[in-house]
Amino acid sequence: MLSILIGIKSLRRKGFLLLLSLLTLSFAVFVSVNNAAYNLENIAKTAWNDYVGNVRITGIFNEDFLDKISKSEYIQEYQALAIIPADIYVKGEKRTVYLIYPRNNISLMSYKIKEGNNTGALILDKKDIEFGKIIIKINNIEKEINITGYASAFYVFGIVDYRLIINENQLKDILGQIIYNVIFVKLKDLNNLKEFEKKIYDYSNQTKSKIDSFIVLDPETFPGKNETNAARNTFNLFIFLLSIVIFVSFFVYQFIYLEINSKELAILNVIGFTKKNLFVYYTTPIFLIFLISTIIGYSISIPFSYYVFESSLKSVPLGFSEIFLEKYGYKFNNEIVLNSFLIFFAFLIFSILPIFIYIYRKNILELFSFYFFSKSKNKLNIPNFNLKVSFNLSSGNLWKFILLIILFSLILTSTISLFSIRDSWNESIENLNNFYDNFIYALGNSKNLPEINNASVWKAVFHFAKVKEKDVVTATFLINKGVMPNLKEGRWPTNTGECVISLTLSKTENIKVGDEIELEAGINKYKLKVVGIAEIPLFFQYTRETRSVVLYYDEFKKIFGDLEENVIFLKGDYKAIYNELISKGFVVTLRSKDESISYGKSGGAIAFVFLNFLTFSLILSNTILIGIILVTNLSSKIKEIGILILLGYTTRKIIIMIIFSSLILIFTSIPISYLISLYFSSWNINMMIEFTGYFEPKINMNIVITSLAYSLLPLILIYFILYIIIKRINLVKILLG
Amino acid sequence: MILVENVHKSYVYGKQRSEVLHGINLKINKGEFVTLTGPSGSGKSTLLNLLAGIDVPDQGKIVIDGKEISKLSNEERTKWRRENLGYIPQFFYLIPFLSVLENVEITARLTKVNNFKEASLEALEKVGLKDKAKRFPSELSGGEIQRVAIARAIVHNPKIIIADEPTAFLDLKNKQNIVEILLKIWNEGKTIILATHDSFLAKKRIIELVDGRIIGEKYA
Repeated sequence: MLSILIGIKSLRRKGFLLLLSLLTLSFAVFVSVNNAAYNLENIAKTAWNDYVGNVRITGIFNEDFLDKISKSEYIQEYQALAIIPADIYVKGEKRTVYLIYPRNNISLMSYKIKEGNNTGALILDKKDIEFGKIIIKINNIEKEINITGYASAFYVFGIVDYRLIINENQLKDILGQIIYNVIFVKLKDLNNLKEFEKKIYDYSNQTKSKIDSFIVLDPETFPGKNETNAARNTFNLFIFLLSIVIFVSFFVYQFIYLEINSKELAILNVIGFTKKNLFVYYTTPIFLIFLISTIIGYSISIPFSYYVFESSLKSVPLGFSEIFLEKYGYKFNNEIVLNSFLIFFAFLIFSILPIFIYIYRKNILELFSFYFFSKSKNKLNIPNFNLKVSFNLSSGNLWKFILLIILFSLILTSTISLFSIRDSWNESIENLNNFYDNFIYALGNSKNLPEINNASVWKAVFHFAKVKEKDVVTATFLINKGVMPNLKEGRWPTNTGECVISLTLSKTENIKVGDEIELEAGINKYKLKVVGIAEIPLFFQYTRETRSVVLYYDEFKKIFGDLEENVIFLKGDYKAIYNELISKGFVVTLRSKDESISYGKSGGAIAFVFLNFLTFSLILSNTILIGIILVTNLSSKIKEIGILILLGYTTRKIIIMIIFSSLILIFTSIPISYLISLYFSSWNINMMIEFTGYFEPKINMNIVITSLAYSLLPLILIYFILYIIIKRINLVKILLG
Repeated sequence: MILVENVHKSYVYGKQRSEVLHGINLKINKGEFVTLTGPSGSGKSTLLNLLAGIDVPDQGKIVIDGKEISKLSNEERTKWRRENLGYIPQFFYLIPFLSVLENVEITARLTKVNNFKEASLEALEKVGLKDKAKRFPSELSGGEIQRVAIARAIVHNPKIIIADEPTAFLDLKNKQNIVEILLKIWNEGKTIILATHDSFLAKKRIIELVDGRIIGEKYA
């Protein structure tokens, strides 16, 4: 009882408050990140399906068709959209726009008015368009449209500058009639898919509507899933690193704490404390700190977790909008809190191990140290005087020095990886987009495409197919006039049943030319023979690589219908083609190769947010650990430093000696980090940001030097703290003992 | 020559200020052996700390060989102490991870003594510990440790040696041994200032301090 009581009183020690704060913060972050990762994983399965339903039907549909659908016994709810590409004049400049009319705003694919009202058109995502009348041009006919508000919705359908939600009257005014081209359906029972598909074709025949494609939406293949996965992977990696850091910090702290307080231990033993009493005395504050920190950490994590979840979703510009987030019911999972508590409890048990060893089995420790230290002195036997002093002031023991090397190597590894990925990233985008001069995105019927030379015309669908359970982009080329993406191996498909796969798909799923793959599109599966591997920019608005499959045109059309989106990669002068496309009524977006490269590079920003987050976490946590080791070691050697100052060592000279020892640390860390980085950066980028395409990051001397410069910054901060500690040494107090 | 003029020094303990030295005036000539005696808390160590430049007076001045050390910065005092002083502390302050020889070498290296290794061995010989040069502090007795501290204080041949109760924790034989060594060093022409509360160890010029004031002076 007495041991517990004085154990509680020992909480007044200064170090414990710091430990309490660190543990509270760690627990809060641990629970928050864990919970955010859980919710990110869940959003894929629920929110997407709730928002878009199970089936997407494209074609041309009239009101009679919708009437039939609404009375169908299989349907829970549905949404019909009329999507019309047009040109829009904003501040005198011609831009592209999708005019979207949703038939029923309380069903699937709904929108939310953020400002104004829907008596006129609503512009999505507040941009540079003011409320009021604006000119649009459809099929070379100019019309006036009134904008009366802003809204939020998840209507990401293609490469256009603006998206406007129009009302029924505006649609009638533009088209002269009401025709829909996309329908989203949520079924009562997914087992009735086949029957429903059959019914749909019957309805189309009965109502003179036309079906282009009937695609079953897979909740696992939704836009933003890859980004969400990347965020989740980053968080998992972060949690893993945090766990190591917490464990090592706790472990090291206990050893150093006992080392510093060994005299106290001896005195308590002298006055009659048994080993059991001492153990209880030393572990009581640890248990109390653990309990208090988890309770406070839990309270902090409730709001913080939602913040982490929401901000990680909002940092993914491709996949989400506010309405999508609103659709998802965020849950604070108490099971995760319990798991986190148990993991922390395991840390606690491990962290009191040093106390147990120190008090009960001190001899084992000495036996262990026999292998590392000079036999008699429990210290490293370094022949050089200056090195010996430096080494003892900066770390003291071999195990601490090895730990310092590992920690600094990790800092260096993460910065080398970051810079290497950043450099390779930019280089890979330039290589990927090097096969064309201009990129034209033309919305319109491909039958009306003009004769184009020195170009290739592509069509692609996103999020509707899978290979080996992984979401793939499915594409085809309508015209091949020599301007094709870089074919690494084999040839382009010349018949149905053949395909070319992207380098990313080949590398990540280990698929080779000659292999057979199975493409899953909805409930249908297609067997395809791989005839080639290519580096194809089919992601992030056709600027980046991703997992993709290129089919023969007829097969693509059979599966996905005829798309109005035509992607043209063009070499040479674009003006004639561009003007001809406009004159034929196409809605056209033009982008030069340089703009594509620049855009593609900016796409990396999402990945770099994660990478920077990870690197920052690693640097911060390892700096704290290095700081703990260096500062506590120095604090335990204050008396020795005092003597050195007494004998005439200046503060500057002492800090130089400590830095001198750290130079060994730094130079040992460089080759270790280089070797780890070679593997780590490639693994890291391909695991964490797999949606951006596969590549092997390169590491050169320039990257190593830059990384070293950045990694040394936190060390400088630590040395500054050491300098302050040495500067504040009170010789009089030391001399008084 | 050491000149102490109207030196006052006080320390703050919690909320209370306690004046340790009350206007000390003292003059010590070159080559003198001065013993400061007095009971615990009389201010001996504080005065020695001020003379060694470890601390500075609140009021008054300390001039050593024409230099007012109380006006120097902390770093300047450190450098001055390094060159001019040998300090033997009350407690056994050796660096535990360095051998006996290395502990002595610290000062020799700092002050750039030629052939510092030989000089250090020579200093150890003077205190009778040359044969234990490769030992570590943990392997020595209290008296031996204090002798190493003396060797460390004299290795660079300083003009002044300050010893703050170097015999406080030693047995009688060791106490006498230490004082004999100090007298031997004094005979080489050094100025020695020794603080002790053992009156039988007091030698030559004896200055008595009580409650931070010099109350008497005699020669033995």
